[in-house]
Amino acid sequence: MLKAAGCILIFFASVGFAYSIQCDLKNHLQLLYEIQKLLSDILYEEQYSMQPVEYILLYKVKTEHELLLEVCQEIGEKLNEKEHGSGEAVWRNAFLKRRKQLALSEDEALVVEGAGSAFFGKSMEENKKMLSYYQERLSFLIETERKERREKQKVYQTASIMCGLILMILLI
Amino acid sequence: MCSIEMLFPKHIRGLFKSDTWLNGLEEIRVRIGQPMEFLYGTKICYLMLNEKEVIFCEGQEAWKNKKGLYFVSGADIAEMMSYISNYSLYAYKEEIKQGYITIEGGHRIGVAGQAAIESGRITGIYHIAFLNIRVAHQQVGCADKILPFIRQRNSIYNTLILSAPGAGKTTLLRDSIRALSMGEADMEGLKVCVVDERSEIAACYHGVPQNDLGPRTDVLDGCGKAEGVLMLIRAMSPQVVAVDELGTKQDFYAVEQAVNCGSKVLGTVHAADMKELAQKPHLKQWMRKSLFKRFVLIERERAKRTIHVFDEHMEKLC
Repeated sequence: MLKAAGCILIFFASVGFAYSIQCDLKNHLQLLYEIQKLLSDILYEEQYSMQPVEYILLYKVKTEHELLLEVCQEIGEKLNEKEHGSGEAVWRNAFLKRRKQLALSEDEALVVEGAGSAFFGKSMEENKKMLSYYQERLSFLIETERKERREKQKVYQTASIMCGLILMILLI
Repeated sequence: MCSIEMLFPKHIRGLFKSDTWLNGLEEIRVRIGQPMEFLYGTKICYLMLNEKEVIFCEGQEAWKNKKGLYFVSGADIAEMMSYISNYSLYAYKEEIKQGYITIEGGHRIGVAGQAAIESGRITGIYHIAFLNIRVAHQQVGCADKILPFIRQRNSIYNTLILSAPGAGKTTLLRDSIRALSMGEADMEGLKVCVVDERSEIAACYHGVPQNDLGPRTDVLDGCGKAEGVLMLIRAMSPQVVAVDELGTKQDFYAVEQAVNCGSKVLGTVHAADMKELAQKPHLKQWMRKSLFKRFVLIERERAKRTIHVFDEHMEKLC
């Protein structure tokens, strides 16, 4: 009886683990889409309202991703303090600080942290050029992630179910 | 911390004394490779670094001890430009093209460097190497003397304020706007609309006037006078339209339109005296038509200013 109950528990745990991995992969892709949208929104606001970046980040930018919103607020506040000579450095440091929380890969983090240089240029033309460069790189990473997602899902799901089965066999 | 202090590089901020910003500071001149200059009226002071002790030294005395002077570097100016533009030079491109940036508090920063020219027009300034921080000083009450002469029942006469450059036309115009908008015991406040082409009257920062222009004043900032006056007449139904430095034919056409629409005009013109005013080509017509009923002439001799008011027949009222 106990063995049967243990087997059921292990089965549900392995299914649950597989599901959580699936959600993580989905959320990660969602985050990349959200970052892509955020970058476009900031540039659009710059172009439309001609306000400084700090104002846009503090009052104009709206993202549903709480962590991203937090990063934007922090960058805005740091810029407002006028303690750092370069805006790009403030942007980079804010994202660098939250690299783990955002669970970005090395390549993704490099793109996101560097994308700040697209908002502090001398003219809108310069900003647009820089952003299109970073957007291109981000789109490539998103496309790669999207393609790999299904394969990763299959591998992780199979692996977790198999592990569960092995544990069940061992238990029996 | 003083808002001007926040414009300086971080390593310099701590060097200022608490009274640097007081005692009538008018301008701060920052030039690449030169000492930082603080102008208090006719007195000029320099920032000096003397064995970790910071002192401000006056004129020639400072130059005798040249080694002690703090010389501004290119990195200092680049850092200052980041702070002045809130790290967003793109947002101030149009203002830089005009040669100045207005910051919070109404202070204006003049910039100079290498001009970028396209088809004979200045499209920007690159390699900014010279800054002139002009500290805002609003003189509330300076127009009290002229108000009784320009008032007409519940409105005002069309009035021109004239003086040589730097004598205080804009200051007087600004305070007149404030007083007319505010109203007084025997006179209700008027709806005043201001066309502030160079952000000198209201000193708008992100569209918000940094100078007190009274509760019934609307400001159209950064717009050409000719277009702005016509737009305000259509949109805001002003009782008084205020404009600074009338000069071109289009400006005068717009002013005539405003007068024809029933608004009163309060403007300024560069002219050292009444004779010079009469010689201005577009003004001759107005003088003949008696479009303007009051002329306020400001004369400046050293630090002393005298104000005279004339009527349309050039008779002195005060």
